[in-house]
Amino acid sequence: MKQSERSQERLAQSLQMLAEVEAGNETPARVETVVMARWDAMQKRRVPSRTKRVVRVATAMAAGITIFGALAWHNLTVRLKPDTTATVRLKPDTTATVRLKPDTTYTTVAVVGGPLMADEPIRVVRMRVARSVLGELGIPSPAQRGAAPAATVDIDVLVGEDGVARGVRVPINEL
Amino acid sequence: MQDAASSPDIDLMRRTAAGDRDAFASLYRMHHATVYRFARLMTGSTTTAEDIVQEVFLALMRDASRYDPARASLTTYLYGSARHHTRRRLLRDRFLVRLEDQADLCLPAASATAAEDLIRQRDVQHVRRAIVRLPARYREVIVLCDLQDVSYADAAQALGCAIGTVRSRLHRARHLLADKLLRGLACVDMARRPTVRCEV
Repeated sequence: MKQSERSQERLAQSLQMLAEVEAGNETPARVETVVMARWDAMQKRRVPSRTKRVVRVATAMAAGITIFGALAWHNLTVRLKPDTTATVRLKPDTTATVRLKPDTTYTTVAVVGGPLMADEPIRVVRMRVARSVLGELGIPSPAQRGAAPAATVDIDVLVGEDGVARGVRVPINEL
Repeated sequence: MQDAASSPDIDLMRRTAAGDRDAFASLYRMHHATVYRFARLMTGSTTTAEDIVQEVFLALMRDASRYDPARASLTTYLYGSARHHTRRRLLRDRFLVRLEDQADLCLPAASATAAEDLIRQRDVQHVRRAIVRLPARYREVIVLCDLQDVSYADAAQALGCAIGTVRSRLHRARHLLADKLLRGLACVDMARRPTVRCEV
């Protein structure tokens, strides 16, 4: 018998002996106690799967509604904004006029502040002022034409982005 | 891979996934010894083996619903899990120096005389140490195929390699082990040789 065969045979015997010894080894009982305690702790923490599913669906729906609402609000704001500025900026008798009073026509814009630039966004502030103010702004009033005037008149003040008034316009029927 | 003997395992796993405590306890009692012996032979330490058994079964209770019986039997799955945790543990503890486990030395008295017991204990201890000193990839195949009687196919599945790889590793591992044992016994014989007084 060769040396290597002898050593392999001896190895097989040794492994057999070790396997026999190991076959009698068992995990100590304390390990089972620890594992089962961990099981109990985990089961207490575990949320029932059905509840978890409902919570997940509800969260997804709430997120969807929120995103949809935010987008809708954003679109609405964007759509309204140009109307306001465009009307006031260039043509007083377009959309804003129709929206406020369909049959209203305005005087030309009286410049009161800095010059009105071509594409400058402007906000309209409607104010009720004493009729005497019109004279100070250089707008002819009924009092000057001899008619019976009202004490106050509604005018639109055109305000630039910097908050400074750019001009004033008055509806014709107010005069 | 799936056989009739493991069908109770499938049922127990399904019930464990549903939160059945008794099913999990049954699974533990059926398989803890297998995992423990594997971990003990791989690490050479009873305390580490106990930790690994805990980790394997904790992972099992967490991931019971993900177990797929079509892929492997539960025993193979547990061997794979035990291997993973053992490797992780050995990697983590590689810089530590282990004290000898006293439990390793306590073997059951199987032979008639105390002298035979001692010799047997010494030999077993010797083989165990030689196995622990093998590289991990060779140790795994020795432990699975030669000591746990796992088939080559199951071992390949647990180790995530081909059957041919298992065979070649086993061949290499046996040679390495035989070599280690031979050198180890030579050292023992040298130590046992009586001192000769030289007279001038």
